[in-house]
Amino acid sequence: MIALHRKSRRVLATAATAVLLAAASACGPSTEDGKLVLEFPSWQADDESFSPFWHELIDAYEDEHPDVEIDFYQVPFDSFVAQQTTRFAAGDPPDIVHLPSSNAVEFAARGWLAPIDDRLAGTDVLEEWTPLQEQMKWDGRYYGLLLLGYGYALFYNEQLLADAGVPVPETPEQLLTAARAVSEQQGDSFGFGATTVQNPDNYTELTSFLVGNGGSWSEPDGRITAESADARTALEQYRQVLATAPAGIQSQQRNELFLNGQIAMLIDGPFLLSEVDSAAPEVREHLKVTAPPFEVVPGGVSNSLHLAAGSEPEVADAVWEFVELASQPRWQERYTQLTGVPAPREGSVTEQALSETPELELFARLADEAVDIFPESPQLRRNYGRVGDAVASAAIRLLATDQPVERVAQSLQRDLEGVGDDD
Amino acid sequence: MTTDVGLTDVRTQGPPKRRRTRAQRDRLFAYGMLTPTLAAVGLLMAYPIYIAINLSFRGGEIADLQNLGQYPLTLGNYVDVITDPKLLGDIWRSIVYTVGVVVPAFAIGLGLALLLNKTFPGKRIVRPLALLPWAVPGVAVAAAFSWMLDGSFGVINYLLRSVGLIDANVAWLANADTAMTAVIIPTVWKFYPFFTLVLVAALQAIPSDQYEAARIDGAGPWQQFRYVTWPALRAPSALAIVITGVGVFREFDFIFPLTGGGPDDATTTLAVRIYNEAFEYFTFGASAAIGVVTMVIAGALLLAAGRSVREGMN
Amino acid sequence: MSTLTRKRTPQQWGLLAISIAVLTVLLFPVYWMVMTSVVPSRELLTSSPPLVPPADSASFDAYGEVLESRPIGLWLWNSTLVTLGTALISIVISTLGGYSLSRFRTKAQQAMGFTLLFSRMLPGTLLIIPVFVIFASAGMINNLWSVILVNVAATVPFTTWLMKGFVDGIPSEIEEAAMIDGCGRLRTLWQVIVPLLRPGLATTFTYACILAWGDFLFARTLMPNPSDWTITVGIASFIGEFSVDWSGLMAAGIMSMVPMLILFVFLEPFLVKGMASGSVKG
Repeated sequence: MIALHRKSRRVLATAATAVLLAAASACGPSTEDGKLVLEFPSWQADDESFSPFWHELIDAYEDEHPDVEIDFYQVPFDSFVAQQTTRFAAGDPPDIVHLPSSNAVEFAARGWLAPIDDRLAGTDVLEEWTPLQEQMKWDGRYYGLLLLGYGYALFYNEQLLADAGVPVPETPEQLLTAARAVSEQQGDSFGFGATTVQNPDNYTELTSFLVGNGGSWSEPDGRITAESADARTALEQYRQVLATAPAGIQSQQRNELFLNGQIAMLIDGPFLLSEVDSAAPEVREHLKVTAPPFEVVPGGVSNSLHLAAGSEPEVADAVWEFVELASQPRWQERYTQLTGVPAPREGSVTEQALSETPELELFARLADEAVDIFPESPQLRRNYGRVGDAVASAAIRLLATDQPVERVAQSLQRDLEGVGDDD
Repeated sequence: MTTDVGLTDVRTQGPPKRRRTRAQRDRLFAYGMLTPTLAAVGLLMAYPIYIAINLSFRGGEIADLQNLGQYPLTLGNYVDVITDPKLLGDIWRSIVYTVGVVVPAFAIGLGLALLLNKTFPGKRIVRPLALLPWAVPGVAVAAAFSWMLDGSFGVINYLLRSVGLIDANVAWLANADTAMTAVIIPTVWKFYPFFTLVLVAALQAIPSDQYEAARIDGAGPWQQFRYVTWPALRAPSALAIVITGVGVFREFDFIFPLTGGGPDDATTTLAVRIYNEAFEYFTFGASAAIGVVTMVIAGALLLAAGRSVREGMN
Repeated sequence: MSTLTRKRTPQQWGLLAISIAVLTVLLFPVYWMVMTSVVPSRELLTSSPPLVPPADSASFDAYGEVLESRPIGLWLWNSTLVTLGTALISIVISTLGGYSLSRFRTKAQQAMGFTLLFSRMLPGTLLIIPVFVIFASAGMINNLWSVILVNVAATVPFTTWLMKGFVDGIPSEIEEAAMIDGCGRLRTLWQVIVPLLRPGLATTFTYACILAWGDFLFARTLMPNPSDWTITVGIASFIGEFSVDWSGLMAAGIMSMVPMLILFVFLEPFLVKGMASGSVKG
């Protein structure tokens, strides 16, 4: 089979294509009546809190560029990354590339994204952006513009904590005490909420305990530190706190229970606030947010804009102008105001936004202090999918089995050391 | 017995020379009839399968599936995949999942088909309703079951607690001991109606005088089933089992949304592994190599699936 | 028909009772989908959820909301086009192929039949990238035909074998007689075999419809544009990054079953016709 040469391969593909072409009329290229059409798939196009910003930004861009049209459309969140992976691997990427940032390095490492250092040099982004922009770097070059970097916050239900007679926790120990106190109360309420089935979210939840305790999975030089004292402490805390959480649920169910007033505390990024606003009024009034109960504020990167590698210069320029527009102070302020989360540009939180969303002050402070939960070792960064799986497996072992923490840490250490062996 | 009909009747008719041309014409006709099938499958499956096989022999950081020629040829993917101790587990779980789905689905399908073949009031309503799970798209099935299997407030836990089968809530999808059962249940639910439909069609084709003759011979219900019903159902059953088995062996739509292959690999079948390697880990070469290994294993299982199945299919 | 007027025996009522008991268990998941669509999810998320809709809080609002805010009609229409296209093409192709596999059993035929099944053993997730390459280079992304064609290719290996099984059930003496009467093979197939195959055709058609109706992977990959979404992609869109709209998802899920349920009802007479063909055979 493998002896088939390039030629025969092309013959096969061409034959299939030719028959298909005969079967249907081919679509036109991406220009309509002389207009350049930029394809922009996103999982936020129908999102209530984020899509208004995108639509405003696109309208403004199209006003400035009458010869360009942006085709902004929704791809369901669940299959978004798989869909983009298919398109990049098939050599047919979209024009404006919007990615969950945890996947950005993986895409960059595979040569799918274009470096933008030269373009960034002509802007003030690198001076004015949150330090989390560094997560857009791979192999010494920048591959995207961070749109949202954040610090984790503690969302809590004031009433449930008061009923259990515990204060809002400020340390991991207090968190555990409070969570246990709530769970011991009568009724269907839980002290803490988390993702308790195996899922990539286990990574962020477990790692925020780790980073909160000043630990990390790896050193920048690539050494794996899953068995360090910090790591073992974090694994133990995670296990104990999550023992008070509802078992066997996904993160969306966790959020729903919190919004129903059945979960007292959970740790998540500022974007959860807009969900909290949709809670029933009698629950909403008790839902509050504060700094996470850790020494170090764990942080993360949410999503980012990129340019596909190898696109036509004309297209790349047009896409860059869109990215650059999004980075303008005016649009960064608008982003903050519309979405209720601080945009990455310094000083994007305006008085007006603050009056609408007072929590922005806290969120901005947390984002400034945040230490990223993304692994440091380059080997782990480019294989984030495998890392996420290994950590999620460890998390589920802590949740659903009695395996001692030492053993969980040991096998995680081994799994993480094995990541990237095959390249 | 039925195979050579075209040839036998010719044999009685013409001289040897004509017979050959007639046989050739028959063969041409046979292939001609099969051509659209082969074309439909060949057109859209040959190139992807070729790419998959090509991919499985490529090394390096594969990122462009349209130009595989740029990556070096290697057996590395196969060496890695075959020496990975996880592979045996994946194969075993694929078999457990397939058998775990096909056997109950067939039993339920057969039971229902026998029931629906009887005459009783309201049958015309019962029959389409019995097939209803089949009408639910897999995406909705997975979502509905993840909702019902919720480890804290899922209705399945509530029902089982109410009837006393369990004392405390079970985190179905988070526990390595229950996760496989938890992904098998929705799959069975989705697949049993196919058996019902095929078997009802087969039952309807049994002439009622055969039962009468059996009754006259003094056969009880079990003997009627054994000597009249079952022989008529054997071939369609075998066929339906093979078709469903092939489908389930590579099924992914139920496991992935429910558990993603977890907890701790407890539901990682070959199909889930192939997806994870390609779409979570971006190791396309390894993914393709596991795919090819899967194809070989599935083929071998199919061939070895026992004489009765093959007889049924022939 | 005569059975309808005949007096019911206690045994028949017994069978009905058994059927109801069995359906209660088997259809519980569908019932729970309906419950979820009419009862606010917070009332179901308790340790003892109500098993029947509470009169004070149950409502069909979710359906109205879904119909108003989402293009369900469009999704169902797209799914219908894909499903009908796939099923019609598959049934023609697989009747020919199934007949061929059943009546001509040379080694080569057998091998090809096996190859067909073999082609379905690679999971779709592995084939999806090359499939995307083919349609992207043909400029057929966001084109219904791409999804129809790939669904045909995915369905035909199964439906061909299924048809073969049904053709096997028809004694070849029947065609022999027709051919002695001077009919050509194709005419015999069309005029003699196809009428006898009606239950088989109905079964196979239903099978192809179900596969195409439930397809998610091909539809979401090859028709990403929201105006081309099928119902399955639409259903998946209720699962968001931070929350799942359970009542909306279940309402859409229930609506997605209706066309297939209608198909089952239409199928019914064909299955009864099967009895007739059976007696011809006897």
